[in-house]
Amino acid sequence: MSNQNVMKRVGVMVAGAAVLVPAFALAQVQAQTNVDVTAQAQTPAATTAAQTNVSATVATPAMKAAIAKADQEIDRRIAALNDLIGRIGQMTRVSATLKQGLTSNTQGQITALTTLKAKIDAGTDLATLKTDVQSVTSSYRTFALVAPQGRVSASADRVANVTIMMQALGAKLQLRLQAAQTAGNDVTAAAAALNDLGANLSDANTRAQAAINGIAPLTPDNGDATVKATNDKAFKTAQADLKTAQSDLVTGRKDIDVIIKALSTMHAAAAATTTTQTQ
Amino acid sequence: MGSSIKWVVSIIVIIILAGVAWKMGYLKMSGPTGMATTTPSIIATTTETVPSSGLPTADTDTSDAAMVQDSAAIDAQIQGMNSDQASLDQSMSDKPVTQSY
Repeated sequence: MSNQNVMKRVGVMVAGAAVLVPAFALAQVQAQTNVDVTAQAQTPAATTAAQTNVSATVATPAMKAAIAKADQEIDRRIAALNDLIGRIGQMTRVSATLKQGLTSNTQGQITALTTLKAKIDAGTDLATLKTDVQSVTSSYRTFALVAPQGRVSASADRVANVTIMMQALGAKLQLRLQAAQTAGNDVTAAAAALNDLGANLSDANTRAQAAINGIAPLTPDNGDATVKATNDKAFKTAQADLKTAQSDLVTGRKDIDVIIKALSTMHAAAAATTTTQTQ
Repeated sequence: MGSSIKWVVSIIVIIILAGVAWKMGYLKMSGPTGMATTTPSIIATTTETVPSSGLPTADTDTSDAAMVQDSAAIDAQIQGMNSDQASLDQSMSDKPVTQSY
């Protein structure tokens, strides 16, 4: 292959591995501080005749167990949401608006769950407790949206970060290869790896963008089976996109190793380039 | 003399036009095009405090040592990617525990 053709290949690395993570308007999730008795219950109707005969003002052992279990569920979700807020704070490639929206929705959920927990803990009336405990399930429908929505955003942000880092390193490698080629080295294999790196970065970027776009407009299903099915499908698609993006970046990382290894055999040219650049 | 002045004026006009064209971006230094960067449309202001690329070394440092450092930084982020993916998987598989009383 002639030097001219190789230079063309080195120069044709896929451009535009830019990350476009839009500041999508997250559906503002209302903090559910009111009990939602109409939500589709996912709990079995386990109330027995014996329990209905118990005094409504005294917390029976069954009620205490129900409260403990509800508290456990709420604490678990609050812990997950607090962890998510911490992760959102680490995002670096999205706008402040997007971060604020994610944080606001997540914090809103924490507030709603905390309020619900206090209500459940203070309850002694069986009928009220049953309704409140059902709310743990109904509020879960919002958790089922907010948590994965935040996680998709965080994953896409990470993909964006890695893409930009690899793009910058790829630019450095391109300069080194050009210098090595000028010095008379055969850079064919390394140039092919560089092109492959560019292709993988471009695909990773596209996938991350698609993941964000797919989950941005979703709203809580509030028990609606159709909306739930739509949300589930969107999240599964986003999950698959992000997995593919991750795979692209892992492959790209291997391309970087190939190029660096090839450059190590062209040490004389690399040293000359470094010297030139430091002048 | 008259023609000399015309030449001078023409050159000045050309220089001015070239300057305007460069300022407006019509004339760019041609360099490696393969890795041309495009600024992401949404960038957090916090990135202004760190190198835009996120690499630990300067964007102009193409030394072997720099690339080893850069590769290690990328590896750390890839590990973080695995963690994010696991968290996403978990958030999607969360199931409500049945309540009974």
